Amino acid sequence: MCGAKKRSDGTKIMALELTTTRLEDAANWGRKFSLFTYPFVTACCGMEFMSVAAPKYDLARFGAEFPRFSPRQSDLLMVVGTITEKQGPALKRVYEQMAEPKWVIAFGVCASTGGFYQNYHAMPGCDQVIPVDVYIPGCPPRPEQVLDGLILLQNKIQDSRGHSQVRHKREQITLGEEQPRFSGEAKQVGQS
Amino acid sequence: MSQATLQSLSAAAPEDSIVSAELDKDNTLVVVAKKQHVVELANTAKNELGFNFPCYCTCIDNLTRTEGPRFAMVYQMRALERGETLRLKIELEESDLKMDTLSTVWPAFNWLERETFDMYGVEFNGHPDLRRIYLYDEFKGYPLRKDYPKTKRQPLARREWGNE
Repeated sequence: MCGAKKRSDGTKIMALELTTTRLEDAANWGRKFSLFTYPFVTACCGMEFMSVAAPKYDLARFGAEFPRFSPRQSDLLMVVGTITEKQGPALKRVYEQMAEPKWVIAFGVCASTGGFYQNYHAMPGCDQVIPVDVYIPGCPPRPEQVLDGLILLQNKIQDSRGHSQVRHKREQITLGEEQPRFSGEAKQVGQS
Repeated sequence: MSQATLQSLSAAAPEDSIVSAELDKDNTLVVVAKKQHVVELANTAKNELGFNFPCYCTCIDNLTRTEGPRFAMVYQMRALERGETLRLKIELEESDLKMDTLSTVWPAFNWLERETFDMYGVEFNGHPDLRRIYLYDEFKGYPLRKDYPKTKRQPLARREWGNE
């Protein structure tokens, strides 16, 4: 960032004219505020999803503005409600049709663990079929919990390394060795 | 009123088709029928006694029962004009879990019998389209039987962990 410049008449220009950042930080910053959600709504949690998306709680404040009902146009898959074993292949197919980078939120206990269904037809959590980034508990979760989960996901996106954020690379980085991030410590060295 | 229906059903029913017939405390006419003559009995109930509205059908699994057949099919019908209820029970042995379909008498039982087949494995002779209705074709066994393991799962899709 350049300091305040002066115009020819001597008044200061206060606005930022130039800023430097890292490519991954800029790309991730853009991504985390423009999540297009695909609501895979199967059960009663859908009511709570509507509540979050409607003006009172307003998911749009966090940039997750637009429910897209085509997996090709969305980058956040929200699994809202119980997934049955019969639905497993359909869910997997929807996930596979989404373009990278993509993220998944399991909305409510049924999508996270199967909830109180412990029987022949209910899948014990949608992570049996697709990888999940954020689990939101609750039966159903309060809208505040959902917004909290969304913020967690935004932080995860911002903190992810690399600008491509293709999932398998992302998981390699998360699962592999912790690499020191170019951050506060390095800045201090530069400033001193 | 149901008492009169009970008598007329006993009179009109084909010979040797009824094991027992009685009114329960809700004034429901409960008839335990033999499976050999069940279609004729059902036709009598529908055409002569006016039980024109099929309510539901399901199966009962008496797994721990020590004597008598394990399964029982239950059909419930209403006579809308008189406001009476008829419950038809047919006891079925586990070794011979078959009976004639009643969907030819009351077509609304078509899908309900499919559900009963899906969940209990009862086979209905003469049913127009006897296949699973809720579960997938790959499913093995009948999950609402009392001896089906509670937590047994038969997945269609699973991910390969750590490989994506």
